[in-house]
Amino acid sequence: MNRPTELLLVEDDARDIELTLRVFREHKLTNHVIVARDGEEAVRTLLPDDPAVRASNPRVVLLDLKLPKLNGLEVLRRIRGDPRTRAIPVVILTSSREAPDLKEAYEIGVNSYLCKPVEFDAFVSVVKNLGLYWLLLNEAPDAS
Amino acid sequence: MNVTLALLLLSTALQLVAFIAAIRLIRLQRMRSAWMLLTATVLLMLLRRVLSLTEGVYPALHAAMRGIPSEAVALLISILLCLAMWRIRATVGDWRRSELKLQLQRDLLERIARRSPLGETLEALVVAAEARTPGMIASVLTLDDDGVHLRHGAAPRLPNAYARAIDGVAIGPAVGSCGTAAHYRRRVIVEDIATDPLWNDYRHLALPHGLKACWSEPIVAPDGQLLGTFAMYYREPRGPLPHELELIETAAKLAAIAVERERIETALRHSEQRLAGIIDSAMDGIITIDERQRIVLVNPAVERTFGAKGSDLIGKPVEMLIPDRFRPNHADHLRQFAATGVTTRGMGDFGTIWGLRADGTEFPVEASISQIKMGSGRLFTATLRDITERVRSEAALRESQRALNTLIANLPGLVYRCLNTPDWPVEYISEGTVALTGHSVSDFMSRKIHFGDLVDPLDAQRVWDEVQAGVQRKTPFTLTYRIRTADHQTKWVWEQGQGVFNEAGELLALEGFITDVTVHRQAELDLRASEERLQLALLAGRMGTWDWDLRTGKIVWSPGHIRLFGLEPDAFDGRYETFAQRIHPDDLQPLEVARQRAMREHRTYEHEYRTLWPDDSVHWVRGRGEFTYDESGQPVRMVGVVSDITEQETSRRRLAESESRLRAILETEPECVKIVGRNCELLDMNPAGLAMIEADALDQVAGQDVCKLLEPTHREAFRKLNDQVLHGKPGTLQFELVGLRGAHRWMETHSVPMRDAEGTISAVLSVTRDVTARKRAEEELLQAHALLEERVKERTAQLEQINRELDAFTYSVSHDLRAPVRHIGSFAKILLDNHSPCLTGEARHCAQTITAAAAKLGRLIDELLRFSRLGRAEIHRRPVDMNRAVREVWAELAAQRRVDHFKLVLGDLPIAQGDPNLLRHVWTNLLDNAIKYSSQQPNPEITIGFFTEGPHVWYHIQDNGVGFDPRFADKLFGVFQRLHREEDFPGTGVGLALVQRIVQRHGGAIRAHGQVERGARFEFTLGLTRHEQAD
Repeated sequence: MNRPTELLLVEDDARDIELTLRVFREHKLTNHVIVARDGEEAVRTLLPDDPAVRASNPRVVLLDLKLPKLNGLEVLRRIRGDPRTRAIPVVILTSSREAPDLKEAYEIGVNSYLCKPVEFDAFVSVVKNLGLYWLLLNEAPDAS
Repeated sequence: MNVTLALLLLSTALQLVAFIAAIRLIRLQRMRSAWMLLTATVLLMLLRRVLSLTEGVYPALHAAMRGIPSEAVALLISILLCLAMWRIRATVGDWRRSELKLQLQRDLLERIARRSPLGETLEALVVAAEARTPGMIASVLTLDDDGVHLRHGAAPRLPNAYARAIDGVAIGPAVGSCGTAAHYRRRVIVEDIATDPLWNDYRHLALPHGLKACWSEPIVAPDGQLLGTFAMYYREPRGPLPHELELIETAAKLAAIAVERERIETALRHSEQRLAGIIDSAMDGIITIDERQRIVLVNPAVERTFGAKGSDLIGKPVEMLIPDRFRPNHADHLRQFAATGVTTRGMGDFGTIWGLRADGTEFPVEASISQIKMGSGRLFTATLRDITERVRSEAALRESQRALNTLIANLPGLVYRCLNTPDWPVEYISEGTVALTGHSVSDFMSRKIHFGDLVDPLDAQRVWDEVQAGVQRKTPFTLTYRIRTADHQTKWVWEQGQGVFNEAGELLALEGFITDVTVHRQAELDLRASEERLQLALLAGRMGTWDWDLRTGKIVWSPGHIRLFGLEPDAFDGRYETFAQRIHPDDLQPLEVARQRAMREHRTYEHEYRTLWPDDSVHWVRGRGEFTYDESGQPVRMVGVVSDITEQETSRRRLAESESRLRAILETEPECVKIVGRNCELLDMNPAGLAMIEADALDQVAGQDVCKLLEPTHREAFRKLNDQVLHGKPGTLQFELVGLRGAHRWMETHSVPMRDAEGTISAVLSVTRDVTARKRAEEELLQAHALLEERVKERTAQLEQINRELDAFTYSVSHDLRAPVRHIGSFAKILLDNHSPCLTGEARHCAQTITAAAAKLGRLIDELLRFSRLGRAEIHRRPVDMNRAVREVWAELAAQRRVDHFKLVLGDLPIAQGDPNLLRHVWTNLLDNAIKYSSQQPNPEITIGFFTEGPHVWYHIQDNGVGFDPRFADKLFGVFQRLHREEDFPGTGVGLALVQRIVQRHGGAIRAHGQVERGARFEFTLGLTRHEQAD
């Protein structure tokens, strides 16, 4: 399995993880997803302290904002603050649509900001389109 | 002894007795020749007898005498004796006839010698004469001292009435017998009074008394002076017999002796009295001493001079009056005088000797001495004069002479004696001439030059005239004139001189003194000019001067002074009373008091008083004067100035009134009024101000820097204000005052410039009020504000906290609430979608309900969040085109709903001022509601327009939908409030609440009108006027 990680899902809520992965799975979008359950784990996954550990380099990061330990915006700031991860596309997928969060996220350099709809059909539609776009349509920068 | 010798001796003794008797007779009788002859006879007889007795004793003499026969001597003696007897014979013949006369004489002389009173003596004479001539009545009249009237002397038998009648008769050529006799000083014999013409005027007096004849003999003193008359009356006409004539003659002579004696006695008595008076009152001391040099008489002057009582001196040796060392000399001198002095009357030599007073002091005496032979002894009388004063004054005179010489020699001028001619030739001139005229003394004395040559020709005539006037008056003259000196300078000189006259009153020369007054003269001229200017100034300044000589009482007023008293020139007579009359009666007493006090205390007199002019007008004047005092401190002169102060006084009184009114206002003014000088020094302050600064009196703070009373931080501002006001700009300042006792007050002062008469700003006048209470109120207000601010801050912080919490809440709601809702809906949907075959119909229905409820919950949450977010959103006002906003919203809504059949009527809405996003929400909700509730109508119509109500612009939107029950109109805007069932009209009940929230946050309002099935109408305003909206 030397295939590079295609998607890093940073999400603490197990039900959301299940719903999100179900949408990906039902629409055959990817089977190589890494899930980080909090901000710290997400950072550790992307920017390991030990040089021996090889960092995962996903095609896209789905980032929830409300996370234990480091929240989503801080994780985003780490990703954009490090040359190794600066270029990785990050999509924020969160329950709320608070204007300040939106503004700050874009200032830090998020690539997209999506709200999880309450209605399941709408949610499925959002996640499906997201996966299609970022994993199939979008040309990621060359990952070495 | 033989008988011859005895007879011879007896004869000789008898001859000696005869000789002595002859000598005495010679002395008693006037018939000297007879008695000399007798004496010579007896002397010869005596000589002859002595020669015979002494025969043999002087043989030589007898030998010489031998040639003269004794008989010849005897013959000579006999012839001499005969001649003497012959001469005496006549006398002896008269003796008997003279017996009566002699008896009379003896009797009278005895009386005279006994010093009987003259009256008695004369009466005795009369009685004696009458006794010897039977029938005769004698009368003596004495002549008055006036030498004209005859007085009754003695006439015991003359009828009293007659005696009284003739008493006092004046002598004359035909005044009876006596008056005529006295007049002619010769005997007058009237044999018959009845016929004699001499008695024509007096006959009627004499005849009634039976007096028929009267012979009168004048009584004449040996020196020829008439003393009176002796008269003999008879009761029958008859002439005198010779012896009767002799008797009358003798009686007259005796009467003369008596009267003369009386006269001499009286004269002597007077003379003695005069002498005693002279001696007693003599300034000189008179001492009489006897030959033994014992004092027998001293006069009071001696007592005074020697300081001893006369009773202590009498009988004492005169030496006690002479100092020891002079006593021997004095005794010699006196003996010598006694031996050589030839006269008893002539004054002796004057010589200065020394006297010794009882107290032992010595003094110079000038004495003259004379001696008088008194019976057996001699008396010396010395006249003594205390010349202490004279010696002293002589010394003083010498000293004064010497001083005079020194003075003349050193005088700043010259002393002269010259002749009174126009060229003034000099007889004496002092050395001062060299300095004054440049000519030497010898130039003048040698007559090389005369003083007249020096006198300036311009003054020469005047000098001559004035000097001559002085000479005429015989008074000293003083004059000032010009002379030309040797070096051709002109000098002013002052001269005082006078004529020197001899006893006959003839002018001998002129004497005087001349001195250089050039400097004084110039000063005097300057002074006079200055004096004239002063008088002019005084007149112009309505002033005058007075000069009061307090010794003479004479007052001199300048013309200005006279004018100030309203008098005509020369109308003031120089008397104080005249001045006093012109003083207002009420002012005279105070003026006197002021003047007396000034005089007593040696101070300047200054007084203001009113004068009464002759026209009865009253004028105020001020007098100011100085006294001059002599060495003893007596005031001798008062000089002063008087000025008219009527106008000043009037304006002063007005000023005083105005000032006192102002003062009264200031005193009662409740606020502080003060005047401050250029350097903030306090000049004046009213009581209210003093109370504020806690001072008891103005003196306590006057002149001090008021800034010291200020809180230090306010002083700078105060000085700045003072400077600003001094530059003419009034100002106001609040400052904190610290009172003298430490109380703090807040003051508010308003200061304005104070200008003097010239308009110069000289001080700052401030009215200051105590604003402590106000300030405190302000401070409290400020504190309250601060507190409020604090509260507001706290409140704001609380609100912010709440907001933050609300944000957090909203955030949580967004995240945490939506997530489970989504999960519920999602998993229910998954159940329906993926597991439908396994589910019963009942189960499927349940899952569908869960899904729907979750969806509804999701929408509610979203709406609430929107409400919360928009309700709190900040408003950014800007112009909003409402027409455009409505059209855009309509277009959006049209995309979501079927609105083809709707009719939208849109009026021309005015541009609004508001937040564009929020206003869009408003329109969205309102339009959405209108569409929703009228969509079921067959011809739905929505009308949008505006109207103005008061100043506000109202927008309205009306539909023709289902409407609402107006009873519930107020519930329309509550959150989650719905008037329709969800099944009929889906909605959350948040829309209108949000609209109201937005409108209210714009400061506006919203209201709803509606009826069931009759449509609804909403009207809102943004709280702005049309004008404001236009901006």
